[in-house]
Formats: sequence, structure tokens, C-alpha cells
Amino acid sequence: MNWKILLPGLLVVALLVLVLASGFGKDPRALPSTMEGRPAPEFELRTLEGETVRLSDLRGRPVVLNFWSTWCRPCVVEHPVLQRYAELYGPGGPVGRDVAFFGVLYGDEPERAQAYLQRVGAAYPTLEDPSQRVVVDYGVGGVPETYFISRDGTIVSKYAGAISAQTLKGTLEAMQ
Amino acid sequence: MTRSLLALILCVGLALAQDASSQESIDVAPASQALDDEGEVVRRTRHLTAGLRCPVCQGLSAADSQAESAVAMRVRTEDLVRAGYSDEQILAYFVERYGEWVLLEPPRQGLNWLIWLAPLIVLGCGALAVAWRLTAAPSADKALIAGTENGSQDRYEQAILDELEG
Repeated sequence: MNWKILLPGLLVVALLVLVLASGFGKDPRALPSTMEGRPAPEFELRTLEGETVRLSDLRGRPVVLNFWSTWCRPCVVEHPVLQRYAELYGPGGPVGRDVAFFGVLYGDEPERAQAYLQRVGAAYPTLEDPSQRVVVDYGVGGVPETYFISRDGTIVSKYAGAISAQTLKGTLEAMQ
Repeated sequence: MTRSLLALILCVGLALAQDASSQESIDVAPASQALDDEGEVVRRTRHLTAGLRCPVCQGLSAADSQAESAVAMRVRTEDLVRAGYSDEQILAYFVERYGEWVLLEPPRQGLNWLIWLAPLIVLGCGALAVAWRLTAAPSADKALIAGTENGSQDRYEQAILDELEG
């Protein structure tokens, strides 16, 4: 057996296997979050009811921004969880944290969203982003994505996918 | 009095500057004036989005995908081009939000050079190996020919001859 040829060959194959194993082990849809720790991009959007909301006006309150759409199944799954915690942690809620919850509509018709929210209930307002500018400003890859903004306007955490009650509660508790 | 007035002006100025920056979601000023050449806007938008990865697709650029996020990226790119931002500023804007991952071609810097140079290094090694084989092979042939000329015979040939004679 010619070890002079076999050894370098085995080394190359081992390296390739290592690279491929690390690459295939990752979820290609799991996006790295670069927005955590950065100032939340400013926006001025209208709610489905026509009220104007500016992020800078919410300074001093923790903010939860949930990007969603009616055609997204995980958004439908997480909606009751967000509803429940918006009631608990929102203005006048028993926890008394005064957290401002907002939905941001992603690639969907406002009329469809309104009809959906009338059916399932809405404990917090949903904002329209007709040009989808805020979607890109926040680096949203797909829905649902939830951004947690601290009282001083910094993005402290981002969650991609349907958020669980445990994660939502933990993040809200950790927010100052 | 003058000092107090100056301090007040400075405070107001700082407050206004902070307010102006918080209103704009991209925190740098455009490199040039607003662009109104529609053909140029379309050409640059197409060129830039062809190099940006669609976040929800597999290996598709933002220019080639009809996914919601790719459409949003095209619209935002067009807005920024029109506002006078340079190609570098626009790419930096996307990298800031999505990470370097968003660039379909990794930038030629740091460890990324390894990705760009690896094929060349492998090709060079292959060429060297072929060259080494080509230069080594003739000498082996010469040795074989020399061996035959000296009258020495292959042991298999000898075995055949022995068989025929026997």
C-alpha cells in the first residue's frame, strides 16, 4: 500500500467531510441577527385603524414589534401567545410593565388582516408598512419575526419563528 | 451670559441633530445628490440586487426572486439609489441589517480570501503534481530500456523461455 499517496488523500477527504458536516448541520433559513444591540430604526406608520405611530414617541417604554401576515401558519400559531402577554404586560395589565406591543403587517392586504383580527381578537394594534421599508430596515427575512426594543430604543433581542409563551415571558422579564 | 447663550444654542443644535438622525433609518448622508435618471436607477437597482441574497430563497438573488422579502429589498434599493446613496453605502446598509451573509459574493478581505484563492491553490497543486509525474516518467523508461540493452531479462520472460525449452 502506497502510504505516500494514501495519507494526503485521506487528509483531504477528512477536511472535506468536516466542512460538509458543519455546513449541512446548519439550518440554511436560520439568519444571523446583526440588529441586536443596535438602535432600533425609526419608523412612522399607520395602524389598520388609521392612527399614526412613531417609534420615537414610544421612547421610555419597552416595545415588542411582531412582523406577521395572515398567510403565515406560524404567525397564526403564535398569535394567542402574543395576545395573552400583551394583555398581561401591556398598558394597564396586571404585571404593570407598560410594554407597547405592535404587529407589523408583512406582504399582506390590510383588509384581510382586519378581517382576521376581528375574528381572532386583537389586544394590540397592527401597523401597515405599504412600501415594506420598515421590513428591510429591521432586516426581516421572513415571518414571523419578533423584535424586543428596550426603553432607550435599543434592539435587545430578535426571535425568528413562532414564539413560545416561555420565550416571550423570559424576554419580557429580562427587558429593563 | 454669552456662555449660557452659547451652551443653549449647542444644546438645541445637538437635540435637533439627534432628532434628524432618529427620523432617518439609514444613519449616513447620501454620497451624492438625488438621482432622477430613471434608466440609471433601474440599471443600478438591478446590478445591486443581483448581488444580494434573497433571505427566504435557496441560492437566489433579490433581483431574481418574487418572494415578499426580495421584492421589499428591490423597492428599498431603488429608494436608496434614487436618494443619491452610493453602491458601497447601499451594500453596507444591507450588511448592517442582514449580516455579510446577504452578499452573494463574499467580500475579498480577511479569511474570505481563502474562499477566493482555494481553487487557484488546488489547481496549482494539481499542475505541479502533473509536471512532477511527466518529468519523473521518462527517467523510469530510460532505466527500463537501459536494463534491456544490458542483456538482463525480465523474470517472467525467463520463465516463459524455460517453459518452452523444458
